[in-house]
Amino acid sequence: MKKLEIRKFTSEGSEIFANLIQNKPINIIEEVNKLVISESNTVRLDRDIEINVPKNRYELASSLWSIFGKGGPLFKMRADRDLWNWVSAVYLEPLVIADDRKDINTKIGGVDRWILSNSILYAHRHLISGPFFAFEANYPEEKNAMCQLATPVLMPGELVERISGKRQLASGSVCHLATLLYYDRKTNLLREGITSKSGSPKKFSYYFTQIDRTLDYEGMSAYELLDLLPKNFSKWVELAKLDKKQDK
Amino acid sequence: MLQKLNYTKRIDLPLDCLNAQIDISSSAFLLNLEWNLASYKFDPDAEIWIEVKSAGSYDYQRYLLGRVASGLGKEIIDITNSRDPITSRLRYKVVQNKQGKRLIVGNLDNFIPRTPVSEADSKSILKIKRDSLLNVPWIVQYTDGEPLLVISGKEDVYSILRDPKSTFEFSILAEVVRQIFIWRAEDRELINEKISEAWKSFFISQGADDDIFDSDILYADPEDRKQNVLDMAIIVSSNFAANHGLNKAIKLLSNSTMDDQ
Repeated sequence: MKKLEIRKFTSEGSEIFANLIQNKPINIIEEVNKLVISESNTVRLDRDIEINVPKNRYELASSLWSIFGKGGPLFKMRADRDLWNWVSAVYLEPLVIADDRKDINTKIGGVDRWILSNSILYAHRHLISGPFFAFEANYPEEKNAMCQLATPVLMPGELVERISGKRQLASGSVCHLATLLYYDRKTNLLREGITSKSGSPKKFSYYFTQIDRTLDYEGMSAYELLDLLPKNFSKWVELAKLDKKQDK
Repeated sequence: MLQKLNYTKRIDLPLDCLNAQIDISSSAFLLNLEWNLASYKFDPDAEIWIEVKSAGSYDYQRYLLGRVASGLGKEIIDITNSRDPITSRLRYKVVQNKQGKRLIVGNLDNFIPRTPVSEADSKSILKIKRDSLLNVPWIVQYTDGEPLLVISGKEDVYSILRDPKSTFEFSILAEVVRQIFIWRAEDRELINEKISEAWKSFFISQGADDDIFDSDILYADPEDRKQNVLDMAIIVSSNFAANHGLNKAIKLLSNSTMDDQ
């Protein structure tokens, strides 16, 4: 565990970090570690953060909640992109080291994963703020967002891309529905085979786009929506209903 | 394709049926809503909902505004805790319960409430008006000695242009400032002294020479003065753009356009 004072990048700091991610020099970790404590490229915020290696996106979001969540000391700064860029820079080394894949470039990936985009089309891809905002959008029922939070931080996966990437799916009963369908509470992982053709996250996203102007689905519970889904989702609907039965 | 099918005989409501404005008072962001559905034959028991989203994030809240009843209503909602209240976008829905399903029978999507021109300048001297008959996207009009930015209410133009994050600031305001500068420098009648002075101070703060407003200065050739005004208008407009980060926004815009190609 590492404890350090929270800072935010200056706009130049964010630019330098973006260039490092873009160009991926051999000593990238060393360069990023220097940048996060650079007095000329950061602004101190007089709060501390503890950096642990989270098992998954949920654990990461939970640890950030006490600082950036409702009632936290930096709640009002949670829209600040330079702050999120700094936090992601601090997490870069521990996350990359904990990931046992060989290729560091694959582990780091594209700029959108570390630099918070100002476009809604890409903002959800940010590896650190993405889980936090998914958690926040569903708080205090944040467990309903496990479809977006169950995967490793460096490997969010297709379900996150589909659900987090669309505002109408990312919170409320539709997000809860996706969790019921695709998340296995027993293993705390996503169910196997969710990207197979029938009832895939892609089809899930299409379905809600189709009914968006017909049905006020945000006003219905996830269990009511479960009964509305077309037949190609039946495999996942049955599993969700089985989970519900076992709850009783 | 399927989105275009209208199973519920939904009415796509025009912008005129909803009036929405964000007011900033003592650090609270209040969304003032006023609606008029009287001319639509909705069931009086149908529910009216407002959904508040922020541009650029998946911040989302929804609020029940009540039943349709007479069709007229107003409400104030505190949106202070939204991640970025000033960029709020609204969806206004009329929902009817039929056979256990919540059907949308009225819909107005992607509505952008009126906001102060910028957070820092909440007492803006520029008044903005929507005109549903205007055939061009926007014009500057001068009424009773006061400039007025008029934006077309046709199609989605008003919503698009009032989006403070994407289009409005960097594609319109600098040109609006340029046009108003020319009007102010050429205005000899000064019908509304208070407004004229406010604009003069504003332009001086943006780098205009104060003697450009002095009509007593004589020019050998009237064309010289005209050219001076036009040149100064560009300087003021450019300074305004730079002071408000518009140049940076344009740079970002052009970069993203290149990326898209």
